[in-house]
This record gives sequence, C-alpha cells and structure tokens, in this order.
Amino acid sequence: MPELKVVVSIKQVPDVDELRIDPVTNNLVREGVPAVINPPDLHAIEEAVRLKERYGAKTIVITMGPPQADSALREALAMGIDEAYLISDRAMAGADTWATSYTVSKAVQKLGGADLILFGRRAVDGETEQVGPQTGKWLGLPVIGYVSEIKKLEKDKIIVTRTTEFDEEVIEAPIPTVLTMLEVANKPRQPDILSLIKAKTAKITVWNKDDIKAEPDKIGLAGSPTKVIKVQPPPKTRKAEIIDGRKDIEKAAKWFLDKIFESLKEDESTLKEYVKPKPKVKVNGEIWVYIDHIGEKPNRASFEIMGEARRIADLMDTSLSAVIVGGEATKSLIDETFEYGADKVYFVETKGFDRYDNEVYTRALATVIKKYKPEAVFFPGTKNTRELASTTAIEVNTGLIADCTNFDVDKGVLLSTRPDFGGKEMSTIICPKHRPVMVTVRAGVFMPLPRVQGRKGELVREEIDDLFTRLKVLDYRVIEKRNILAEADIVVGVGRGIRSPENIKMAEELASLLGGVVGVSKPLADMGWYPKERQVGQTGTTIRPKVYIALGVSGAVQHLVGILSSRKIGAINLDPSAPIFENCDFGVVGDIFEIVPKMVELLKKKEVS
Amino acid sequence: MKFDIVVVGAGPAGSSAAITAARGGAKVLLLERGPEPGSKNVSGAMIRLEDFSSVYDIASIPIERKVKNVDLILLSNSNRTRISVNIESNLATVARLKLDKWMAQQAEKAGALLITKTTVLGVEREGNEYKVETDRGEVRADRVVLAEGVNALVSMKANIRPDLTPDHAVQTVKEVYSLNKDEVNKRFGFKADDEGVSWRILGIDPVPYAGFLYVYKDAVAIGAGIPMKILIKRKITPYTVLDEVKERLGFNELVKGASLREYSAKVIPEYGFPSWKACSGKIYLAGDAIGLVDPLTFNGIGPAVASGVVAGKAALESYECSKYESELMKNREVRRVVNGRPLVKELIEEENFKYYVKTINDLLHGWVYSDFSKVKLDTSKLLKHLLLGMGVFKS
Repeated sequence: MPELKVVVSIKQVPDVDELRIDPVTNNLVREGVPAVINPPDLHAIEEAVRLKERYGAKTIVITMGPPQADSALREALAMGIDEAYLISDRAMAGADTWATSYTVSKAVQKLGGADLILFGRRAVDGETEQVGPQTGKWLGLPVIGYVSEIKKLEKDKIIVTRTTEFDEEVIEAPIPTVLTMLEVANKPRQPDILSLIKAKTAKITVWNKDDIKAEPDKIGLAGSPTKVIKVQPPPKTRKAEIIDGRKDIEKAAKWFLDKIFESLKEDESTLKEYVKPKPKVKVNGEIWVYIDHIGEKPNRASFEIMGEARRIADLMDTSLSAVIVGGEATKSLIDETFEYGADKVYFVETKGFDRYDNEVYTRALATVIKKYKPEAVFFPGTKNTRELASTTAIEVNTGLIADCTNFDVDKGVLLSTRPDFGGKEMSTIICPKHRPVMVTVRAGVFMPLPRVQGRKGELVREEIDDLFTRLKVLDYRVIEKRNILAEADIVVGVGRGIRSPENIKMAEELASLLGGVVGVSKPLADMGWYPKERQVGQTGTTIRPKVYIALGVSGAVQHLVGILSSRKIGAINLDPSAPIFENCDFGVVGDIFEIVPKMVELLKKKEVS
Repeated sequence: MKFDIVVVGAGPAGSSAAITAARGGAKVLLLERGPEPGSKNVSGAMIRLEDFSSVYDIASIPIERKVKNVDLILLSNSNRTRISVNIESNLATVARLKLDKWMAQQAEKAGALLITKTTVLGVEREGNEYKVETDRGEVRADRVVLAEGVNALVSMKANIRPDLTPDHAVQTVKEVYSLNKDEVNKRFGFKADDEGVSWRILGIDPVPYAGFLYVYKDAVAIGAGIPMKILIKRKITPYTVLDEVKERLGFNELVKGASLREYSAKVIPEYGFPSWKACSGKIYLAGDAIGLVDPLTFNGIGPAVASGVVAGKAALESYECSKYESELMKNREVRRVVNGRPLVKELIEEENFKYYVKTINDLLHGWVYSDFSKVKLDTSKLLKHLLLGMGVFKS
C-alpha cells in the first residue's frame, strides 16, 4: 500500500476571545487582536496526526492567507503535521467561499492530490461551513461533512460516522474523499516545547496564484460571485428592564419568575397576518425554497423561511416555489408545502433516496435549477442543507451566502444580511452577476405564514434517473438525545458568579422546575466544572431558547454571541455594571444565592405560574 | 535541546537581552508565557525614544502619539497647581501590545527564536549548564536571562531575589477609556493625529499618590500609584484614590461618552538591585525582576531596555556576577533608578510627600497673590532631599 497522504486545510482567524466592540462606534475592534488557528481546524489537524499515528501517513497542512498566516502553519507543524504550504497572493484577498474553495482545490491539485482532505467544521469568523464541501466539489471528490469519528481506513475506502442535529449515519466512501471534522471527534494535543522549536524553524513553502495555476478570474475579490456591500454593527434590539433585588428578595424573585412566564406565553409561532408589499422590481426567475426533511418528516425551518421568501417573491413580482427532493415517502410533504404558501412545488423524485445523500441530492437540485433558472434559492440552515447548498452552488456555478438573518430588495437585487463573528458585526452581501442567488437562512429568525388547510398550487414533477452515489450508508439512526442545549425552550445559564461547581446544583434545580436545561459560560467549561457540550457561547453552543436566564454571567462578548438568538434574556447579577444587563430584556441586580433559592421555593409552592 | 542562552520573558528587558545576544552570534531562545509578546501587559505607557535607539531600529517603532507637553499637576487639599512643560518630541505614548511585539520581532530578525504560550516553571543548574523547566517540557542552556517582570516567580524559586514586601512597593491602578481619534483630538485640542500630551499628578488627598494620564490614538488612560504600606495602613483601596483623582481633574467630563475599555492593576517595585542580587552563576536578571522602575515617573521600560541590553551582553560573554553587577551600575538608566531610590524612599514617606505637594502649591499660590505667609519652609528637610536628589549622599 503506497503511503497514505492526508491534507488538512486550515484558516487563521482573529482570536474571538480577544475581540471586543468599540463602545463608541459599536464597531468590531480588530487591531491588536492576536491571530490564531481557527479553533475547529485544530480538530482536523489532530485527526490527521492521529491517522498518521494509526496508519502511517504523510500529513500536509495548507492555508490560503496573508504572509502572517505562516504562524498558523507552524502551530500545525508543532502538533505533528509533516509539511506546510502557504497559499498567498495579493490577488487572492477578499475571496468568498466560492473563490476560496477554488483556490484550495487548485493547491491540492498542485500537491498532486491527496487520499484524504480534512477541514474543520466551520470557521469562527464567517461561520459559513462551505469551504470544505465546496473544495470537494471542485475536485470532484465525495464530501462527508460533520464527521464525528473516523472509524476505519482501508486501502481504498474510509468508514466514518457523520452526525447532524437529527441523525447519525455510518458512511463508507471510496478514497480520495473530503471530510469536515466535528469538534467532538477528538481533543487537540498541546505540542511540547521541542516540537514548537522545531516547527519554528521548519521550511514553509509559499505558493502564489501562478504556482497553483489558478485562473485569475476565479480568485480573490474579483473572482468571487458574492460581494460584501456594507458592514455595520448589529442593531440593538433589547430594551432592558432592570430592578434592584438586593433589599426585597422575595419581590425580586417573584418579578423575575413572572417575567419568565410572560416570555414563555408570547407565542409567536406564525405570522398573524401577511401584508403583501408593493413590488420593487420585476424579475423573470422564481424564488425557490428548499424543503429540508428527514424522510417524510419536514424540517419546520423550511416553512419559516417560506414566510420570508414570500415577501421577497412579492417584492420581486414573481412566484414563490418550493423544491422537494426525495423518494416515494417524501411525496407526503407536497400538500403541507402548498398549505404553507408555495405557489408551485417542484417535486424532484430520487427513487430510493428518501433521505439526504449529498451526491444524489446535489445532482437532483442542480438539474432543476439549471432547467428552470430561478432568481434565488433559499435553504434552511441545517447541517444537511448547508452542505447541499455548498456543493450545489459549485455545480450550478453561483454564489452562496450563509446563515442570513435579514433580507431586502434594492436596485433590483436581493440584499442578504448575515452576522459575522457570531453576530458582532453584520455584513450585507449581494450576488450581482450569477443566478440563482443562493442563501442559507438561520433557523428561528423568521416566521411561517399561517397554514391554510387544503390550499393547492401547481405541481411540477421531475424524475432524476441515473442516480449515482459514492456514499454508502452502513448504519443509520435518528438521534434520540439531541443537542438539548440548542433545542431547549428554557436555558438556565451559569457564569463565574456561581463560585463553585457544587453550586451549579442550584441552577439545575431551577432549570428542572421550569422544564429547562443548564448551560455554562466558557470559563466554567474550561475549568471542567460542567461538561464542555453544555458550554453556551461562540466557541460552544449557540442557543435560541424562548427564554435564557443568566445567573452570575457577566456577559463576555464570546458568551453574548451565543445567546443572541434567544427570544428573551433575563439576568441576575450582583454587579450592576455587568455587560449582561445591557444585553438582556429583564434583569435583577442581586445575589443569585438569595434570589435563586427564593425562586425555587416559590416554584415548589406553586405560588407562581 | 540545547541553546547558548535562554531568555525568560519577551517584554522590553527580555527582547533587548535576546536581540543583543543574538546579534553577538549566540543561539538564543526567547520564551514568553502569553500568546504574543505584550499580551500579558496592560495597554500602554510613555517612552523616551532614545531609550530604544541603541539597539532597535526606531524608524519603525509603533507609537501612538508624540508627547508635546507634559503637564505637572499638584493637588493639595484646597489648591491646585498646573505646570505645563513644553518638550522636544522624544517622548511618545505607546500601546504595549504593539511595542512589545515589535521588539520581539526585531529580536527574531536578529536570529533569536521566540516561543510563546510557554511558561517557565524553574531553572536549575546541572553540571555546567542549566535545565529550564517549562509547562511544555524542558530545554537546556549555558546561560539564562530572567526578565520575567515584577512577579519574578522563577527568580524567587531559584533564591536569587526575595519577594517584594509592601514597604517596597507602589500599587498602581489604571483605567483606559475608548474614544475615537477625532474626539481625542477635539477634547485635548490637538492639531494632528500624532500629537499628544501626558499628565503627571501629585496629590495628597485622601492619601499621597502619584497619578498619570496618557493619551493614546483613540483612548485615554488614567492611573494612580499609592505606596502599598499607606494603602494597608489607611485601609483604603487604590480605586478610591483613582476616583478622587478623576473627580479633582474633571476627568469624567473629559471622557464623557467614552466607556471603560480595560482596567488593570500593577505593582511597581521601588526596591531591588543593588540591594538584591542581579545574578547567580550564569543567570542574569533584568528589568522589573530586579526592581528597575522609576517609582515617581513609573518609567520602567527605559531601564528595562537598558538592563536587558547589559544582561544580553553578559550572557553573550558569560560574565561573572561581579562583572555583570558592576556593568549594570555603570549604566546611566540603571543608575538613575538606583540613585533615585533614597530620595524616593524619603519622598514617599507620607509626611514628606504631603509637605512637598502642599509647600509647592502654597509657594506658587503665594507668588500669585504676593502673600507667602502660608508657606512654611523646612530648610533642613529641603536641603537633605536636595542633596539626595543630586546623589550627593546615599540615604
């Protein structure tokens, strides 16, 4: 067996723990913030080194970036990677994911290809989760995103576990193949001093655009289908109501509980009424929404997005259509899709593939997009659809804008606004020349239109023959115990104010009485006071509960970013100047050790409801 | 792995030692515990450019603003005197993160190897070499420079110097407020983006303190230092003092709309070499680790660079301890700190400090009103301190 060759592609990002917001301008301050390896990429590096230790392999790390990215490569070398390549050229600056993945794919080709190409799941600055799958697509290789475990590597195939929010599959794929690694896959090692010293003096090869034979019109800003047209601070949306709970503890506890229950009652599950806006432009193509599903079960986020896509379709004076890709079982989704407001449904039949398979679904979706030429395609931002949108964008040669939270139409084009650095900054992005504009949309931001029973529309059927996939599912299961933090309606967050790990019990008790779960801030998870998977924040889990209750959480930017999508935020903290109070809806200045036990007591006596 | 010289700490002293030794041809390893040089530091300070010119290429030195004026402000209970000293522009405010990074980069350019995120736990002699123990394993060196700052754990563990006592320490606190560049220019009346000012404040209420204000590009720093023993005796926190300084100077009005970017506390030693050893075997100490900070102006960077250079040369040429210490004493910067200490020791005695602030205030106010009846001159005290200040006798 010839030696296995593993390439890891990494990115250097500003250290998110050190980022801060300028209090005057509200802009993100990048100056003086140290650059680090994108933390999820450390897991890809670690996995490559483990493959080397397990099977014997030549490991290579590459990054596209400015000359300073050299230090990220050296860190990877210190962890045990054999060779490093810096892909650096001024002409590459400003690349979007399309141009970046193209560049990375050219670099991999220049390396003579590889058996495995590993990526981190996402980059913590842009959080697009696109570059890995897109690079695979450029190279024509199978793509397996969100790998939680590499089970086995054989001469010509690999067996991995792929874990999404909803399910877990054991997949066999031929090599070469592209994987994006989840953080749960491993714990990155800390290099020893001798490795650091060795890495510091190691040779790093620098390649420019000509070295990798990149076509000039496909790289950098010039080659990117999407353009950032505006960057601005996030809007302030919360008006905090703060009371002093240092004197009358019982009163404060009652008030706080009332606020919690009030927040839970505000049920805004659908738009009450839809007012059709005046069109701003007339486009030829339709607005499409991709309906995500697990077999016959729809992902509700798809219908949420239809609510917003309806508005965009009306602004562009075109019809709203939905696309369902799947087998026999998924036909049952058609009626529901009409009822949630689609004028037209494209049912793209992939016989025998009720569930998502990247190769089959990419091919199916790309076929209908090429045939019907929609103006825009909206995808719900789940792991499966983000991966599908990534590979499809390359297949149909267009730009993809990830994780959008706001849309508008201006001068005839779709403006998509998305958070960067987990919401510290908002970028508005357009896709001027390529069609369709493809966007993935953050779940939980928009609301579905009211469902109209029996509503019908035009059904277009397409059947995809010649179904072919290199991915073989060996085992499949729906995840019972999902990421409870990400899905909980009530999250009780605990920060350093809790003082000792034993005291977290108090928060657990409150959470269980309210029917919620406990999450912790980064310092607590770092100190091992609570499991890492319960860490709320940018480098932990991003939550979107109906109510987030912050106990003794000061509100570091890192943490605030993770709770941004919570519908309501309540905080209790002894320090009236804690930043959490400027980022919550209701708060009590007081001692958690007084107020929380009082709340527990009140809940037990059922004096509040 | 074996090096000629391991330098502990990539601050001004460490980088200066590393650059000096590396230029002399030694194989130098520079170890820093922070993720980057300067990252363990509080944000800024004022420097004299000529302190750097002997070893660094100052054409590229990253400064915030050139200081055109230094205002000396004396605050007694009732009076306030402000003296503005116009200076030639060799003073500048700097951001430590940028400055320290720049110094370490120059050391790297000279051939030193910089490794960050690595904490040195101890240094032990083994035969003719030293074992440098870190949290990532050990390295070996023939000579070691300890430039680890005021909290010199390695030096103390190696029994080279004792811990700093409250009698010999000034506690400083500092706050930095963010504004944008244009606002800074407007509020301080600067005509250019690189124009700056700094204030030196001496006050006696509620306790004697020395305060400072530096203006950075887009921020203002204010701070105060109080002798630790006064804080302990009077059971007062340094922030109470800082709040008083801010109140007296109308600082809150000056930074209205700005918000607190960072706050920090640092202990400034006003004791050390030559009362402490600066050397043991082939281990050379430099900078804050041997107390080389001027406790009245808080200038520690200048003496750190100067002593770092001497330590680098000592390590390069494998000086005996007696030679290293005498070379240190020959250095103008080091001598300035050392010779200033007796005076400083006298001055930070609560009663003396109060006396001066009050007397100078009274004198100047008396001069304005042509009424010197309030001024009480203690000539013997004045004479003694004058002589101390001139270095005529040593405490």
